[in-house]
Amino acid sequence: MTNTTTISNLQTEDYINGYLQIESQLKDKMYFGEMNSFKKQLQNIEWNQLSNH
Amino acid sequence: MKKYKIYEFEYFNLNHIENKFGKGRRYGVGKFLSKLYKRTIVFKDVDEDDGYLLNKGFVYLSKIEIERYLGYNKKDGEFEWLTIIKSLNKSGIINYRRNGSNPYDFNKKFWFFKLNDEFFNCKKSYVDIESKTLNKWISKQNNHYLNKVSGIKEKGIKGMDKFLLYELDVCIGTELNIENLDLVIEQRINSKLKEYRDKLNWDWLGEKSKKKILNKLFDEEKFINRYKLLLNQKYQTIKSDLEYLKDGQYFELSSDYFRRDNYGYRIYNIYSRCIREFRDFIKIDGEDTVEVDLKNSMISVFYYFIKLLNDENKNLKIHLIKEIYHKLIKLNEGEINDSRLGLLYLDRWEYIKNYGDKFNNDYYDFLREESGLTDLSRNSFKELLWLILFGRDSQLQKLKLRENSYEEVKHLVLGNSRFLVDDLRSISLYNWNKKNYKYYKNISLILHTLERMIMDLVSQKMIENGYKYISIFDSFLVKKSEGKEIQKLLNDSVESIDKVFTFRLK
Repeated sequence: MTNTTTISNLQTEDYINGYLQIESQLKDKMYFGEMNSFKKQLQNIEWNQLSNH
Repeated sequence: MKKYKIYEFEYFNLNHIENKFGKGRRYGVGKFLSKLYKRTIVFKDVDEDDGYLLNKGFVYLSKIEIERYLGYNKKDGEFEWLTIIKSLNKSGIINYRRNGSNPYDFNKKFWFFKLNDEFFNCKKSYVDIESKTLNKWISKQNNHYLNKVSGIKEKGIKGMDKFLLYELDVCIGTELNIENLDLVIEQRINSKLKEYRDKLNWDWLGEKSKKKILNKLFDEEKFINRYKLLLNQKYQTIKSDLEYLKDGQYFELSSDYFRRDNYGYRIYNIYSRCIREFRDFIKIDGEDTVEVDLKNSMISVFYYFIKLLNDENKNLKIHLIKEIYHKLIKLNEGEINDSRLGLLYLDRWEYIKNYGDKFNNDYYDFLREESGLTDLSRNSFKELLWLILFGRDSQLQKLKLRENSYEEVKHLVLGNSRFLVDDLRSISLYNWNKKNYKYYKNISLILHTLERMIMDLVSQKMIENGYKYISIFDSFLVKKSEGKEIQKLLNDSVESIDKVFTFRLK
């Protein structure tokens, strides 16, 4: 899952501050960032099959 | 063309439908009733008659589905779907209620339905839908559903973020097989009966609540049979939904399982409403699972919240805390002291952190002893504390512990922190959750939001490390073989937030 926003290197302070802002960029990125590449990394959902119908 | 299936009920079968509404509505109305039945089973609770649940036995169905199943043409000046709903309601087959966020526009209110009890007691069979157009429509919905909802930045039911998609993906690879279902159900019923009997001994529990419990115990056999039937139906529903999930038939699921709520964005998945006794049998990728949970979650989060509130660097920097801090100051006419902000509550935690072993590091045991209420069981004390923090005003005013009134019990349990609790219940957080906002829910709204922040943080860590998990509010189901390493990963993560947080392996 390399494409997900990595928070390992973020300071806790940054994380809490960022996350608790209602529409923070961090939260937005964690929830919705790079959605298409994230979808491809999932193992069980057959996206192609769904969209081909 | 794939034929989808519906339940046919002996109480009101497909021929009854045809006789009442014509051949063209045979499968539409059948699908409507079948979907309501499955959705009701997901939400149905054996205690529902006791509660103040918003939709007691009522379940939501979207207008799109209502119109498709019951007909969107106008006949004699009225939409067909409305005529059918009215007719079913008049015959006592269904009951309906309108509810929603727009009190001024009746047309925008949502539809909620309740099926007659006979649907749950009668014989039923699984039959094919013999309607090409309906099967085609369902197939189309199934194919579009996931693409339609994933990645939509919308609060609540309609949008799915990465965390929800990840859990959906994990859930597809799960299994739930209980060989001796009767035994597991019997164990659940026995622990429920034990819980009821324990509650009868709780000093502070009101007469009305005790009477409701007594009514159940009075006709124990009837209660046991009712609960047994419900648990069997719940098991069957989750099993069939798992099949739909594996088959990619997301629209066919009984409920929009994978969603966040409007109360702190808590995550729900297919297993969120599954009873603990069933959850023990869940396998991820064929492996047994264990539960890793955030110990004393809500009360630890409360401590952390008060700490943020009292920290001058944070109470003005973090948007969410700043908003509450300012509202508290305004409520107190411009001035607020440490005691009013619950600082004394923090000192208690310093104490438990130093002498925790004495109380098994359990906050409820500690506070129970400190309040001098050692004769209450841990469960009774915990529920009492929760009631004081999260209960409705009308419930609280009635609260009595022996000769002590609510104000006295609150003083005993919360000490000087009671002022903060009172203040938090008085400020308006309407902008946090405009749907069904109630002042008394403020504390749970704040705590759920912070709890979800912690759970999202550690979920992200698990995703980064390739661990699979299923979240159940304040805990995670993970593969047994990975339990210990995940526990370590989560504890390393939360320790940097605050030492009060600990994940334990159950």
